[in-house]
Amino acid sequence: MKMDPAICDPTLVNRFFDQELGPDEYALMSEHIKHCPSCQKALQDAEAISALFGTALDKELSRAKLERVEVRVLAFIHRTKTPWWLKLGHLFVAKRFYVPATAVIAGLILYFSFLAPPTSVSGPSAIINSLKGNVGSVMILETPKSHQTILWFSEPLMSGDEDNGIEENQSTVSTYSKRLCLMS
Amino acid sequence: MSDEVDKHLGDESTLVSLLKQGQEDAFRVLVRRYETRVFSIAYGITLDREESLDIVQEVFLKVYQNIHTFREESRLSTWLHRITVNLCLNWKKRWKRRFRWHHQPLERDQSGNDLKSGTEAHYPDALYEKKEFQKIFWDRLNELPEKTRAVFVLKEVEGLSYDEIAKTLGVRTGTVSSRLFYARKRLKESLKQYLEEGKNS
Repeated sequence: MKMDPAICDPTLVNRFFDQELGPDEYALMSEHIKHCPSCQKALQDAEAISALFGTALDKELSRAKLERVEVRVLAFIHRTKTPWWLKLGHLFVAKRFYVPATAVIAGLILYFSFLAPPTSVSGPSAIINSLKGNVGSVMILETPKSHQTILWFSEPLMSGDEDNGIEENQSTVSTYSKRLCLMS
Repeated sequence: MSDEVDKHLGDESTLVSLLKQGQEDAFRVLVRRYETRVFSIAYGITLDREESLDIVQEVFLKVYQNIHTFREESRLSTWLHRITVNLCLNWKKRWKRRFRWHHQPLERDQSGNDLKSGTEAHYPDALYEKKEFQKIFWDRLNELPEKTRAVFVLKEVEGLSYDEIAKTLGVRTGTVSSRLFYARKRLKESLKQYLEEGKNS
């Protein structure tokens, strides 16, 4: 920063007082102040304000009963020693836990929403190795990812009168269809 | 015990580590090391002794409750300064809301003078022997906007650089420079008479 020593700049005096000037600026300002009564006064005033504040604060500090603070703080700490469950809570509140966890959850949601929506392929309702009975009909469904064979067959409805020999007359017993679904 | 601990806790990171472990002696050391500085900042901003003592207490309790969040990216003192200034500024807000309190201009006589100081007054200690002057000085400081006062106090109490003050208060360095300049200018103007007296004596 270029500085004209002939110009009295109070802001520069302020920064000079606070030692916030670079070495070159400081040297220039220092030289300028030697010959400038106005800047000398500004500097003296800044020093005086600082001294007044320091003296005022010392007086106030001598009146303040700071030892009470120490007693109160330590008493509080003693009363509320952090229990282990709160320390555990701090772990979960910590960013190192919830930031990666949130990222993983967000990633999973995105993946399943757009890239690989879960297919609801129902498994076979039964796997059969052998079958006795009347097969009503067979349906074979093929999709790119699954192969399903669906069998409908008929079996007598158990009416509870089997002991009475009614089973001989199966034609009079109503039947219902049962679906078996095979998947390969 | 704490004196022994204090000797071994010159290193700030060791102190922080023990504070995070919840060691009572470490807190004792922390309080003893920083209570005067925290009180000075609090008093410089609030200008209320009892309130400042409460704020000092609250600062250390906040440190105790939140030390696990302190990541040592800044110095412990910077963190303490930030907590202190925030509590002080919030206290002012609470106070204003509750009592509709505003900065009131001081009562002055017609000449604009508050104190007819005697010729025996010396600067600044002797000047301070006069109780009235103490009140006048704090009242003049109280006339400054509180954010300006916070900058002034951090500079005068802690001797922080403009950059450090800016970091503590979350403002730009230029703002710190201008607030500090404004604070001194206002104080010089309002205490002109006493500054002149001091020089003459």
